[in-house]
Amino acid sequence: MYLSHGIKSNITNNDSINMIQIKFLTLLPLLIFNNINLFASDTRALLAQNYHISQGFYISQSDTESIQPIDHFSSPSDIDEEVLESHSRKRTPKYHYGYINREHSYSESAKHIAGIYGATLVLYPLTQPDVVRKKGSFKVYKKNFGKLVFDRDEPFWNWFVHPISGSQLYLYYRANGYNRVDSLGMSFISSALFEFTVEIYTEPASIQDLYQTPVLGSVLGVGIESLSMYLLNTGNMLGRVLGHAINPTTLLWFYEGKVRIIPEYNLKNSGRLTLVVNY
Amino acid sequence: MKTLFFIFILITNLFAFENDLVLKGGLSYSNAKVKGISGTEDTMKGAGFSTHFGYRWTKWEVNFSSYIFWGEVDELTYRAQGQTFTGDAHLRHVSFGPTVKYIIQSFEPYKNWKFYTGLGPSWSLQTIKFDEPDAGNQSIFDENHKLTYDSQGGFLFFGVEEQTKYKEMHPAYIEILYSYKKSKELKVVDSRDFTETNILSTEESKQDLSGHFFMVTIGITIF
Repeated sequence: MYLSHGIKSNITNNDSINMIQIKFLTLLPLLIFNNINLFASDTRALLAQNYHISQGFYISQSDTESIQPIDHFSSPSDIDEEVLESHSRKRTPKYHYGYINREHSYSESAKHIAGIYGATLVLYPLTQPDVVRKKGSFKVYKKNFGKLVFDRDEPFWNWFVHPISGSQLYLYYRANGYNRVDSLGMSFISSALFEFTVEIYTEPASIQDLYQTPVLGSVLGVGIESLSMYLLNTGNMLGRVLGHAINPTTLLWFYEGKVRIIPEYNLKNSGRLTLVVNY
Repeated sequence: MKTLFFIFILITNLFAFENDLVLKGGLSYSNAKVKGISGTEDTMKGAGFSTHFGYRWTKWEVNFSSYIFWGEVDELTYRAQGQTFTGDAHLRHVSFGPTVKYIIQSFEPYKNWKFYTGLGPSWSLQTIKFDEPDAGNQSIFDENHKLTYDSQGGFLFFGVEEQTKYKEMHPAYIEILYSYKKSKELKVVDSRDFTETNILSTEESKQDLSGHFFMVTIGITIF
């Protein structure tokens, strides 16, 4: 399991209700420097490049997605009051939102594909009742089966609706712990199943939809992912509302990236960081 | 000196990620010479974007690519439903195809940047959406109609790309693409209702619309 992009954890689901407490005396100055934001990008890079923590967490550089090179590091003696003050101006959110990349079994992936497929079977006639009623029939289904064409739809559908729905599909898989490439792949499978076995009830499978839904959807999804994480981690209510609005999967029960952070520290001798990981 | 050069090549090769899936995207500027029937042609300038998803080895990369752009073409002559007519129109162009790319390892024009070249077949859809009809134009086609051409052709491209150790460093690229396409089939579509696709007719359209397309793209590896 990976916490955010840069930190890999060996926590299993059996540990899900445990509160993992890390004694981190050596990390204390580092965390203070970053206003206890363990997941701030610089800290993430510092952690990934400089530390191995044996109690509950370890860090792997090779499996990261967003390690940024850094060119600064402050030792405890380097931290002065001015720096501390400037970093303490940031709000400390109660939760940290991020994405956890982890391995998935074939059966788990099959369940996700089946779940999304079932949802499309229900949603397609509900969202486009006129099209299904006027154009749909099993005769049309048989005629369209296996056919792949360029559709003649208006740009509204091809450049707006399909990429938007593709982005939410991508974010669904991201919320379920798939990394970016795997999320694109899973979106492609889900989208292809819809195109070749559901939508053909009314029209043949479309080349544009087949490509644009997962690919443009993922490009858009990466943008939404970054913006929503920024908004959700601002610590203010409006930011959280907007973040959830553009990335609704962060509100749902299966979202794996919500981490509660309770920092306790003092500057003089010791400190403790408590992480609660919600599965 | 030869040894030094060899070491330099080895060092630069260390900086490129390989054996990984990649998604790339970029913004494009296009310049095309589009030909209608009766010898009419127009130079079109447009903007758009491209995406590539594929697998990268050390020197080779195989992608599924998409190029999309919008522009305007004036005074081209078209033929549809037995009528020949001339008009100004907006052109939307989308093309897809598998592409094979070769990264030239032996030369770096700038530190950690390398040239590449590639090619592939393309399948495209070109949509002609008419502006308001000319006063003297007796055509039945107006701004409520669009001509949609299925075209076939190929891509040939050349570019320069940043070589980075990790794809998470979002290496950038600049690409010049040439593409030739000619139409195969035409469908006339009534576009009054955007929620419904109403195809009025389908006919063969061999070379009724063709063109040489040049495109400059600046993009990055997204993931």
